[in-house]
Formats: sequence, C-alpha cells, structure tokens
Amino acid sequence: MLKLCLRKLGQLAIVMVLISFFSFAIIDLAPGDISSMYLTEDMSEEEKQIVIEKLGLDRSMPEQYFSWASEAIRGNFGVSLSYKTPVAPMLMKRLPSTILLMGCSLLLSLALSIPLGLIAGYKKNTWVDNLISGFAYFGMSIPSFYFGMLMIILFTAKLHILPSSGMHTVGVNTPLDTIQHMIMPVLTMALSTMASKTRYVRANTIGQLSEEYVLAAKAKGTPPRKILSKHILKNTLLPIITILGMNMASLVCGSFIIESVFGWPGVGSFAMEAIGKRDYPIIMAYVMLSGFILVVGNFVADILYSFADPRIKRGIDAVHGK
Amino acid sequence: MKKKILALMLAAAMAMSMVACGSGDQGTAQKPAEETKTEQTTETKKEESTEKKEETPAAPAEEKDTFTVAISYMPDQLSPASGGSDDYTSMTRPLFDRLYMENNDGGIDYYMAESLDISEDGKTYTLKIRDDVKWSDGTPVTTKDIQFAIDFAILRYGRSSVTSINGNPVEIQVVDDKTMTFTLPEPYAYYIVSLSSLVPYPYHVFDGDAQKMLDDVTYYTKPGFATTGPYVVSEINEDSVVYTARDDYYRGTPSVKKVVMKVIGSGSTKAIAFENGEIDYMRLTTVDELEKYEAQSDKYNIYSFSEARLNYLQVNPYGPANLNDEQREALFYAINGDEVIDGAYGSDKLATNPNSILTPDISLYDPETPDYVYDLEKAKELAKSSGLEGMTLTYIYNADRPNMEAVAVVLQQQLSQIGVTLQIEGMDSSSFFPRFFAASSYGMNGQEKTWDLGTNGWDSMRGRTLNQAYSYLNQTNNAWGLTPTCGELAYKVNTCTDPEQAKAKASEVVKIALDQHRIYPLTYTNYIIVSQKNVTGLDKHPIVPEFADYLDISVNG
Repeated sequence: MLKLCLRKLGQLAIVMVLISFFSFAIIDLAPGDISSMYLTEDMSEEEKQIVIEKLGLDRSMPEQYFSWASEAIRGNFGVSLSYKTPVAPMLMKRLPSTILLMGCSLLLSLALSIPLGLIAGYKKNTWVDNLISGFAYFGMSIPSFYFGMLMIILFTAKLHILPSSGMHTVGVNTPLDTIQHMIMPVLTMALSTMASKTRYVRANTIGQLSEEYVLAAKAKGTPPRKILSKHILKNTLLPIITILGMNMASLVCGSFIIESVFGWPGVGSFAMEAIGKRDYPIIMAYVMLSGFILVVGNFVADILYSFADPRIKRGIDAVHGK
Repeated sequence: MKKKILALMLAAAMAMSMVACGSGDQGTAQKPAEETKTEQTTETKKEESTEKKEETPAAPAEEKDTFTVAISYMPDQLSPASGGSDDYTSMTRPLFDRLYMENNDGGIDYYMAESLDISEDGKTYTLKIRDDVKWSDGTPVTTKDIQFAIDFAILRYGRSSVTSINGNPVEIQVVDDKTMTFTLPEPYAYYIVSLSSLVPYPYHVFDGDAQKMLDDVTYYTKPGFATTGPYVVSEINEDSVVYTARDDYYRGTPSVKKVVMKVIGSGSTKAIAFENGEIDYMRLTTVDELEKYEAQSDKYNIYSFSEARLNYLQVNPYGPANLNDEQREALFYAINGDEVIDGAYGSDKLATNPNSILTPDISLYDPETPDYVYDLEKAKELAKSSGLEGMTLTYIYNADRPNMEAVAVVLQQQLSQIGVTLQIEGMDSSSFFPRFFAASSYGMNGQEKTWDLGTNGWDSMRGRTLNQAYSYLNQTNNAWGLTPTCGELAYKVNTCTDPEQAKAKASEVVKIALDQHRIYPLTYTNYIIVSQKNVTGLDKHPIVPEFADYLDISVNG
C-alpha cells in the first residue's frame, strides 16, 4: 500500500506539471490578452511599452511560464492582472460557497441515484424501470443551463416562491434563506449528475441480480428490500466510487454554467470572469486547483476501492509479493 | 416498498413547500422619499448654495428607501483604482465622486471641483476644489489627494493621462490645499476629458505613499473605507454589497438611504428578477422588450436618453482584400442605414441613423454634415467595374456589445446584393480589441491582416472636444487609412481656443474623413431603462455608465 501511495504521488507531480504547462500554453495561444483593458489609442509607443512591461507581456511564453511556476511551487499563485490582488485569497474566499453548492448537489444526487438505480434494476423492464430510466435520459439530455432557466421561470416568474439568483437575501443571514436560494441550483446540478449515476447503479444491479449469492439469499427467504440493501448495494458502489473520485474536482471548482445562471458567487463564476478578461494568474490557479483535486480524487478513489472490495486489496498485495 | 417511496416523496415535497413559504420579502423600498436637490452648473462657474429640503422621518422597515441594482459579478474590492469596465464604474459611482463631468449639452457639471478655469491661450487649467468636500471619515479633500492619485497611476501603470500630452510633459503645480494648475506644452482641448477622469485617492489613509496603497490589498475589501461620494459601504456579502447614505455629504443627503448592488444571474435571469421585484431597473436592448414594458406603463417607468455613443463600420486599410477607393465607395452605397436600424434594433427608439462621426452630444457636432447615400444600383455598378463583385470579405464584431451580431447579419444581407460575401466572425472584447486595433494601439501585431471590415463603437462622446474621434483622425501608424490632412485638421481643432472656429474646423475634418469612405457611421444608440413604478429620477443626469448622480434618484411609496 505504501509503495502504491508513493507511486501515485510521483504520478501526481508529473501530471500537475503537464497540466500547468499545457494550460499556460493554451491561454497564451488564445486570441487577446489583458492589455486590452489598459492600452488606448492616445498612448505613445513608450507608454504602451511601459504598460506591456508592467503586465509582464513583453516576455516570451516559456519565460512567463517559468516565472509563474517558480512562484507557484512556493504556494504563490501571483497577483490578479485586473484586480492587482493576490490570487490565492481571492479563490479561498469563494471556495466555501462553491463547496456548499456542489456538496449539496453531490449528496442529493447520491441520495437519489442509488435507491432509484437499485429499484430500476430490480424492477427491470417494468413500468417502474421505464419511468426511472426515462427520467434519467431526460436528465442526461437536457442542457443544465436550459433546465436552470426553466426552473427560474417556473419558481420565480410564475409561482414567486423562490428567488431568482444569488446566495442570500440582503440583510437576512439565516440558514433557511440560504437553503431557499440553493434549491434551484442544487436541483439543477443534481439532476444532471444523478441521471448518469442512476444508470450506472441500474446496470450493476442487473448484473448482480444474476449472481448466485442473490439466488441463495432468495432461497433463504430474504426479503427483496434486504437483498438490495444488504447484499447488492455494496457491489454496485464500485463505479460510484470512481465517479465520486472524478467529481471531487467539481466539488471545489464549481460549475461555470450553474453559477453564472443563478448568480452564485463561487469559484466557477469567478474563473469564468477571469477567462473573459484573460487574467491568466487566476485562470492558472483555477486550473491547478481543479487538476490537483481531480488527481487526488482519483487517488482517493483507488484507495477506497481496496477497502470497498477486498479482492482488489488482495490483488494489489499479490502484485507486491505479499 | 412502493408506499415507503411515495411517503418519502410526499414528505420531501411538503418540506420544500414549507421552506418556500418562509421566503423573506425582497421587495424594494416603498416610502415617500424626500428629494435632496443639488444645483448643477453648466458652464465654468458653480453656484455656491445647495438647497437641502427637510426630510420626513424615515420609515423604520429596513426594506424601504432602498434602490437595488443588478451587477454581473462580485468585485473582489471596491478601490477607485481598480476597474476599467462600465460595470465596475457603475458599482463605484455612488462611492467616489469626480471632480466634474462633461454633460450632454457641451457644458460641465461640477462635483468636488468648484471651478475649472482655462486660460485664453488654452494652455493653463486651474482647478479649484470645493471647501466643503470631505472624505467620509471627516478628512477634507485637498489637492494632496489629487496629486496622490496621479502618483499612484504612474507607479501602477507607468503613466497618468494628465501628466503628458503627445509625449510632452504637463507642468502640475499645487498652489494651495484647494487649488492646482496644469500647464500644458500646447493647447489641447481633449485635456478637459482627461482631467475629468481623475478621481482623488485618500492621501491621509496611506500617508501619501502610493506603494503603500498598491501593497494594501485589504483596505477596499472591508466596509467603512473612506469615500467621497454620497454613500459608504456598510455591508459586503458573498453576493451583494450594501451602501448607506452619508449624512455629511457635501451636496446633501440622498433620499435613497440604501443602495444594494446584487449579483443577478446571466441571461434572462435579470428580466425575471426585475419582474419579481428583486431589482429596481434594467436596461432594454431589443424592441420586443421595449414594447412589452411600454404596454405595462401602470407598473413600470421607461426612460430613454442618448447613450452618447457612435457605432461605426470601419474598412481596414491593411485587410487581405486591400479595398481600393472605388470598392469602398461601392460598399458604402450598398448600405442602407435605415434598414440597419430596422433590422438590428427594430425601432428608431433604440437607435437612430447618424450623419457624422461626432454625436449630437458634442458641441462641435454639425447636423448639416452630408450623410452617405444609399443607392443600390450605383453600388452594383461600382462593384462590377471595380472587381468587388464576387469577393469574400472578413467581417469582425465585438460580441460583448448589444445588437452587434444583428448589425452584422443585416450588413451581410445588404452586401450580398452587390455580390459581396461577408464572412462574419464575432468574438469577446479581449479577442476583439487586439485584432481591431492591431495597427493602432497594438503597433502592428500581425492581426491587422486578418480582417477587412469591422464594427466598433465610441462611447462617452459628449462635451466640447472631438473626444474619441480625435485619436481616430490623428491616427498612429496610418491605422485607419485616412490622409494626413485629417490628422492635421483634427490637431487644429484640438488646439483651437475659439469655439466657433473649432466647430468650423471640426465640420471640415469630418467631411474630409467621410469623403474617403473609410468609416461608415452606423448608429447613434439610445440608452433605455425600465424601472419599477415607484423609482424615479433615473434620467435626470443622462450619462452612461449609469448613474452620474444618485441624488436624483427617488424610491417613492
């Protein structure tokens, strides 16, 4: 296990270097830069040059990258080119809002997708299965921003029961108020992620139902509910662990679209604004955060696998000669 | 099992409805507000007295006397030194006053400045600050604050717009705590615009040390920092900022006691939030929206005023098609300006057909400037004889500006009638400006060879100078293909101290520029706002970005 962890750490470092370099290169190749905010026609050539030097745009891409990377390794992600303030605190300030939103949507999608997937698998080819599968297809097909807009039209414009956007009512600082503001974005996010998880769980459930241990449990007279919850559930969770590992990045990096549609003051909308302005220190910090969490998430998922399924741990031990 | 699932779903639905029913009131303030009027000057003298009406006692409920504004993003700080976008300017207008602003009548509205005198030779500007102007912490505003702002700009950007003109230094002298002089190397009418953009910074907070202000990244992130405007920041939340009216504001206490700047989602969310009463106004950019709210005049107010903006079509002299005089003439004969308005805007309430590269908000504007004529037959004839027919031209536009995509589509259709194919490319501002201004601001970065036609806009085209048209006519790197005469004449306009002569020269240079068929004025746009019925005064100072003067605004019962 220790060797596995060390190997994973080494892979993490290599992946982070590759992510950072290619992200930086792509941003550099993208048309436009932050100078469009500062250069005007009435400036002399000397004045334009001073502005470009102040923004660090007179250096080549490798020079800019290495300058950034040498600071980033020390935890200094630089200063925002548009705000002139350090990037790391700006991201940290918005992190709790994103974690709250994405965490709730993740929990909700898990809470709904697992039982729905189990039921759909157990009731395969019945109207229950068709209903749940239809719901899943709907969730996978509808664009999340469109669904979000539909929710706003229904609950805000027509029914006037929920606020259209934001995180709080001004002057109100209660959990209930925050929950009200969260309902629509959480449901919108949960729907899109729940749909695919439901299908995974369903497929695995169908696979497990044909196993002999299920037949044995039925022969013993175990009720269907207990078969699903006590036997089949654990075996269907492996792909869910994989998905969770991949979704960890979104937990902290948010969703551009959902946060923009609902005016949620999180990391996602912040990064979107930075992309529009070509504020590369913010963009790079966001990309590095996202990449790091993604890799760590997958690493954690691998570790959890070995605990969730003893066969995997035995396989790992066998490879290492134990 | 089925019953349990059904029971769970019903319980969840009941819980949701209980939460929803407990929603707080987000309505805007409903109070018979008392307006505090302030006299505004229109010329160089400022009237000394400001009238202040007695205020009726404010209602105790916190939702009243509140004006709620939608913002598209939550700024990380509210420093007067940050920004550069119209959104940010709108956010900080209630906090930081200007010294003065040019208005749409060719005059000046004074704020922190008591007067601005320009010597007869046009070279010396004497600025005097009002005696009663104070920062919100009680410290008087002085010339030290103005000098501090200049020093900060030089430290941060390497330049200040008021320290030099055409590369030659301006001599700045502090006469006393309230008086400064700016002596120019030559008359330069545009300097009045540069000086108007100067916002004083708090010398006393940072001990006059510009580096200290640059290094302090927290001062403008917390409520209570020093302001010069009618409001102070009393609350900063994750998705909103609350400003509270100052009782010691030198022009009188605003009738609106609270201004809330709230993040509203993108797209249609803003319209829904407005109709739901969550925000007090929004801008209208389509005729459908305008007609919809005009039909509900019992619930909403519509305000319309000139945006002081010119949108224009530019022919790129460095474009791959390398269009000659005859070809450009053919293009311009093929453009039907009225159809552009109808097709792209839907109504002349949203935009009007211009005749000049100056807007009517500029005192040098000449309504008699001959406009381009639409003549399709002549266009076809010229297109054929010049070889323009059958050509494909690359057309670029800024997708962040309203209606520009629709303008592109209309032009594409119009030019197809003379056998020209437009390949349209829309992009965001960060991509558009380096490309459109490649030959100008960006010193030939290579992108000047990638487009043939492009649409752009000049905003804040008001006052008594050529404004943005000056740097266009006095082009660098022959960026726009105009003859040197345009630059020489524009320079003369800018250095002319006689208003009548300046106006005559301006008419001449505009005509010469238009005769070269390089720039086609497309629209003068109107800025249309819809507000809740109880909100008034939004058009009293019709300056964009809004709002120039928060003392005008009332939220009534």
